[in-house]
Amino acid sequence: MTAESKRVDPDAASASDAEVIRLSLSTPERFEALFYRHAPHIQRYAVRRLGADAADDIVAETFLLAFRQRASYDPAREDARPWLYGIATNLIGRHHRQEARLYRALARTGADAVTAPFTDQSDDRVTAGAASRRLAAALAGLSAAYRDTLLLVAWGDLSYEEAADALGVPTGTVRSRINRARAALRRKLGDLAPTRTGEI
Amino acid sequence: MDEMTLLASMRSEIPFAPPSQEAERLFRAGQAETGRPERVRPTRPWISLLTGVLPGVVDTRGRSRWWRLAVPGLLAIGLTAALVALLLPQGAARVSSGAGTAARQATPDPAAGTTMSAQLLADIAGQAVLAQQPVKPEQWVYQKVETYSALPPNPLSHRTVKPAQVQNQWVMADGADEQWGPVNGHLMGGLVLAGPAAKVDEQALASAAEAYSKLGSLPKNPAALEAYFAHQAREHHPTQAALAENAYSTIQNMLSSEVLPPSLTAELYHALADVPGVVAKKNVTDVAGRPGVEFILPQHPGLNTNLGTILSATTYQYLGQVTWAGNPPYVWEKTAGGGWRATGDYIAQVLLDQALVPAPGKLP
Repeated sequence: MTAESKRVDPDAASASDAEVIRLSLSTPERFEALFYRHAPHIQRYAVRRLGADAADDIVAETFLLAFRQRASYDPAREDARPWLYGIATNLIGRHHRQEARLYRALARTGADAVTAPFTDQSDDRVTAGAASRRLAAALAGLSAAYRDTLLLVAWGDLSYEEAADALGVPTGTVRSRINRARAALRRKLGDLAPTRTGEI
Repeated sequence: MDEMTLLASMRSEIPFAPPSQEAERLFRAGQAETGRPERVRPTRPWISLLTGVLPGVVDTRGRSRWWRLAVPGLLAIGLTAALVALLLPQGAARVSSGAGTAARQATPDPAAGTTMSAQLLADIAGQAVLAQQPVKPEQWVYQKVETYSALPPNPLSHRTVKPAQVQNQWVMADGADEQWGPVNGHLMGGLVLAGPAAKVDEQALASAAEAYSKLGSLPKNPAALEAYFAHQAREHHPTQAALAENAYSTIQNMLSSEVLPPSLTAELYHALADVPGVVAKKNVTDVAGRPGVEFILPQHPGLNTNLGTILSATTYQYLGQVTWAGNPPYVWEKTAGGGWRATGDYIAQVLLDQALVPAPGKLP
């Protein structure tokens, strides 16, 4: 049994997110089940976008805001991931300059400050390939709305419908934003076929 | 493989792991704070607040006044030094790396630390102080306050920063009375009547009592408090920067000058976080070398200095405040004549000791 699983309330383990939130209205401690269930995903998403230090605060604040707003959660939505990712994305939006700086640094130097703490210094992945550098440059150039939408799908593993839910926009808007964002990335990648970037 | 696969590859370099201990700690601390009942109105006189912000009310708090007089004076000295340095011949050597590092080894770099959410810091710090016991209104409290003013240490002598002024003071928790010892062995500005524990004059206390009568209209929640503090600016058409600075300075003054009940302290932390432009940092160190967290109102074109309020990293009680200009806060320049000249400003005031005592003049 892992340390993580020890913390999980057995009653909450099988309950849906909506049920956990409903139970937490009368028993606030129940909300912790939601934290342990989804925090690893939100953390990974936030680390990739802003780095580990900022991610700690983003994760904590995401779940604190969710905890405070849980009374207004729509119980018809069994899966709370879009709600949580939406909150996290809004919080990340406060740091959009920092995020853009990280992408620009990766594009300029090839050194990924976000992955450095997790990577063996001798690992040749420390220095990103040309495709990653161009991709980072493209991400830095995307508008916040396009970037949020694209990364909710690519790094948050949300469907288009879930991303729309997270952002509070129609699914059609998500579809068009992602199409345009992907087109921008492809333009930036140019003749660097991703299939040739085995070093990534 | 397309651009989406490439993006997925970027994410795959981040390990999937349980939430960090820091994230969990922050979440739990904030959750505990959220579960607490609504913050209550303060029950003690806000004498310092009112004397500081109400037009026409004289500042009667002598122990704050000498500090306020010192700040513009020292800033003026620093500004003069900076202007002189600007007028130096271009050939003058600038040594911001070697000598600057030496200076920062002796004095904490106020720009250091890790950025965090100001709201989150307010949540955590507020929860921590709410767990502390309030002090009875009639209780005497001893405080030892040190004020450091830099000009930084000379890189040639490698001396450390010495406290510029040290003062022992005794305050009654409800603000009804206070007494001060000498500053560095000398009485300051005629504010103290006589002796090492002289008493403030009756006229000053009467002014404070008059201000207290105006407490009824103060707002009750942090956001409204912040707005109230901001709009006490004395300018006819204050800028947003002036409003923010006014709110920040007023709250900072309350934290530094008063023995506040925990509920009010928590409320002020939230109001501080609500001041537009305020950022927070963890892993900072105050000038006395103590680990802390900090609310900062950063320098910008409408504000000529950075303002920092440092809380203890463990108890989240007020530790001190720091004012600095420039980035880095100061550097040493080698003059054409071969000497050294410092530019920039650095002023810090720290509450080095605080303890309950039976009577004024008594040490813990």
